[in-house]
Amino acid sequence: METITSFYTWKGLFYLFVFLLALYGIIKLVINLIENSARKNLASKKFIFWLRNSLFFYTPLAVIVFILGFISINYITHSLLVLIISVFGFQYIRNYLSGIIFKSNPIVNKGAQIRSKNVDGEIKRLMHLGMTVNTEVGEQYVNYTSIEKHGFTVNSSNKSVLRQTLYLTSSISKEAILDLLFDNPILNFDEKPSLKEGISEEFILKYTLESGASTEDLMSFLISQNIQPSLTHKVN
Amino acid sequence: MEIEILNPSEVSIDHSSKMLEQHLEEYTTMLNNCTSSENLKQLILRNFADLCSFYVEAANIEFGKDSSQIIDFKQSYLYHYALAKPFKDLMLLHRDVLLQLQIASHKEKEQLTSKEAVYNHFQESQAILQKALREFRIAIEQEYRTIARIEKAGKSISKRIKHHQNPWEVYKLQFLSILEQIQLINTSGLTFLRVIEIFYSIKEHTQLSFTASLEEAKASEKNIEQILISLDKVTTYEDVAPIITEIDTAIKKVETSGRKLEEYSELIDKKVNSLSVLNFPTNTNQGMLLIKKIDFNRSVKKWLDYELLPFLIDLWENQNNLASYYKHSLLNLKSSLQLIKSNKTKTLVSSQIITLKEIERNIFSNIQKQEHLIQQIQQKLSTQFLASNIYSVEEFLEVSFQSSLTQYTSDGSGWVLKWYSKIKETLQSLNSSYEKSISTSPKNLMDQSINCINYRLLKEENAHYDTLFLNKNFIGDLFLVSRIEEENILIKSFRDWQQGSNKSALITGNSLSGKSTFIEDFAKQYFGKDSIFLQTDSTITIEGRKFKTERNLKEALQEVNKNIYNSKPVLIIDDLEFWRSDEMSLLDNIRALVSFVLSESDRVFIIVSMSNAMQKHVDQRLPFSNAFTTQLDLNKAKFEEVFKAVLIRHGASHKKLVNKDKNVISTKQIENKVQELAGRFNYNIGEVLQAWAYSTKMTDDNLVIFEEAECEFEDFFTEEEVIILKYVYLYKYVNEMLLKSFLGKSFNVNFDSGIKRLINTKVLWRNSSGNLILNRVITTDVFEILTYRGTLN
Repeated sequence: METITSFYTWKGLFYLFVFLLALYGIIKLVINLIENSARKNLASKKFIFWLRNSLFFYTPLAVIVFILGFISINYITHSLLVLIISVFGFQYIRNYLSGIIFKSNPIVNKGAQIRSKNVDGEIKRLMHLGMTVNTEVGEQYVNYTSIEKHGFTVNSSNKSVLRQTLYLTSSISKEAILDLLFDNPILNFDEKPSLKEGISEEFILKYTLESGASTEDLMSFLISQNIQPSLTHKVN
Repeated sequence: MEIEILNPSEVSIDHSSKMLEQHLEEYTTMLNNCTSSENLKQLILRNFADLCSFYVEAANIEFGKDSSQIIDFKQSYLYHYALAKPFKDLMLLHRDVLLQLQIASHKEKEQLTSKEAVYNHFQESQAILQKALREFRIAIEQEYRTIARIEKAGKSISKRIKHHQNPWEVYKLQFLSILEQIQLINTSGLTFLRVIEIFYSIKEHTQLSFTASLEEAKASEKNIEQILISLDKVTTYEDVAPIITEIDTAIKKVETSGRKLEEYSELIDKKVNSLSVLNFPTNTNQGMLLIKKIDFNRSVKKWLDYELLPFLIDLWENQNNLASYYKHSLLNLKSSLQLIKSNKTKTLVSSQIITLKEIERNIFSNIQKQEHLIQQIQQKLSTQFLASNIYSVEEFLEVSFQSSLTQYTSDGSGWVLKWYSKIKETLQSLNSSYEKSISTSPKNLMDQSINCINYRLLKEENAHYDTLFLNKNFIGDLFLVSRIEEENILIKSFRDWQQGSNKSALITGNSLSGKSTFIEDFAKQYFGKDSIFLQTDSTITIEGRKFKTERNLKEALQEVNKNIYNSKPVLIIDDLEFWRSDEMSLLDNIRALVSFVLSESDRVFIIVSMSNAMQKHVDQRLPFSNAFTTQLDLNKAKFEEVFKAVLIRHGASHKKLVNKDKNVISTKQIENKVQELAGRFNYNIGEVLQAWAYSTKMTDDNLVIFEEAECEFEDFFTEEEVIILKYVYLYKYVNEMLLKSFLGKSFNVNFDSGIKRLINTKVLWRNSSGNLILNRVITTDVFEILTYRGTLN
């Protein structure tokens, strides 16, 4: 009982703060250690990914716990104080939380081409309350709330593999084209290519490439197999 | 001492204040006549206690009188009001003096103080008591004067005390408890004497044990000196014989039992067990008697364990080392002397003298060490191990935090130490691997990986041993370790097939997981000659008819179908990935196989093997796995199977397995090492055997040294190289033409250099047919890298 009640004091709050800070430090340290020293296998990769994600959510959680601790010292005055602060800072808090969810999205990272309402460019920096995007007209600051509100498209990214589309014209059957693609190592078969019949003799190929391979590689392969690829619809 | 309180009616003797004065007078005379501390103690215990009893009795009598009948209130006033407090002070002082006298006598007994000091203490105590008595008498006289003054004024004492409550009741309780305390001091003093005795005997015993140890050491020094003198005198080889007998007798005397600790602890235990929890008055403070409750048994044992035993153990260990060193040296000397004797020369004697002098020097330094330790022990015993220390302010027989730490860390079980070293080791290894990874640039990574491959490749000098491990079917089936669980599943499927069901089996597993061995063994056991091993580019014989295969499975299967008439054979297609060519793609071949499986599996028991990665890949395109009724994954062998495979092979080598320091490795240790390797290679039996082969090194003296591979194969691949490796991993081989067909022009830009680099670093080998295959010593590493990069699922 004693330890619980002692949290309702300034001293308790200080200990809570130190504890939360220490835990944050420990998680960071573990990530660093595993990344740099452990064997690189799937388990450690997954573990790091999990840790990184939990660290994303840890910060707001720790802040909430800290605020609860703060309120419990004198719940009437402190609640009012917290309420006033949150009313005035609502915009920022919302932005921050949106940012956490936005950043935890695996397709978002520095260097990705992002398109949303009023924004079109390459992500230059991801900050706590917003990000800077390199656009045609210059560097643009966008806050996360507006991105969340309007949705976004990531066109390309340096790290993550993206699904792309090619339009093919060929006399070969659909199955035969898929068979041809099957052996080619530049295609990522975890997300296997799909082929739909389009207008007239056209096929729409949706595919994912292995990192390191380029669309040009695939196109030259297709040409060598007598399949005409095109990045756009054939204009009749 | 019993304090009897009489009823007023029983009182016949005079209890007036005059009588008290008389008693006081007598007591003072006796006090003045006291000559020693002991004398004074007895005086307080007997005579002063009597005096106190007299006071209590007298006061009681006065208290018991009916107040209405009392005419003279003088006595009551004196006993209850006026003199009670000064008398209590007197009692307290006596009690304190008694305690101090006791402490002095205990300290004297433990030789902490001199006789003179004790005598001085006695004299001072006596003087204090005399002074106190004098003052008490003055107090009495003063009270008499007060009474006289009151009476002279015509007032009655009764009026003066009428409104006061009689305090005697309270005083009486206090007086009695002080008397009890005096009694307690006396009895506990007697018990304490016993404690002192036990402490003394422990000390004596400790002293004996360390002097014995030192004497042993000194005796050996003396012996060596003696032998030296005798050796000096040697003139002919005949003189050597008596020296040998001398050495013999010396050897017999050497004691290296090492039971000293047990003997010592047993004896100490016996002695200490008689001590128990005792209450000792140790000091006084403002009239209160301070009593210490001490668990002698516990604190003495603890102190001995933590403070003294470490030194004693050190000492005994020193002596044991010395004894064995001495014995060893003597034995050596004896044998060399015997050699001199049998060779009949004396030339070697001088070198023996030099060795002996060295031994003497060593013994001398050991004795010095022992003496130093003994000094420390004695210091501890004389300053800390004292029963009278209970009188000091510090905690009795306090064990410092540092020594309890050392005790925990040097304890026999040593769990703290073990954990500490474990944590330290983990941190160190983390640290070193962290530093390694920080300090290795990609360029270094490549170097490291090339070294790793070279290290793992077959070494000529190990050929004999390594071939045992790298051959699956060495000397018939001798090395075969059956995979019982998987075998049972396959047998069940086979039995069903025999009874007419359509059955076929797909065996999956990474390279070296034992697929081929498993299938061959099964075919041999259950089909014998009715086994058809369908391989690419070879000649197959079925029921006497022969046909040639290329890489077209459709054709081959048609041939098989045509040629089976009378038998119900097993058709084995090992490594399905090899069935592909420019004309016939793998997919087409697989389609042919699937249709064959679906239609012919009642006539032919079909077993197909391929890697797990390829199985998954094919399943993306075709309903392939579903065509087979039985699927077996051989990737992970059981530990027992892996261990057995290693043991059989090692056993066949008839060599001793040793570690780096050439100490023989026990079976248990081998098991641990195999366990480690098995974990590292995901229980892939072939990989473990291979790793065992490259972790061992043959030596000239028919030993096999097991050295943990320190090299790590690091990921130094570029993205293009990863694509190439993915293809090789899936399809077993690749060549430049194939790659070019997949990539067109860009092959020359990015992939050509990649493939060359892979060949140069020996990650890829070119086989006899010109194809590039994955180096088998890094299959698991490549697999791990590909899965880590997300290229393989």
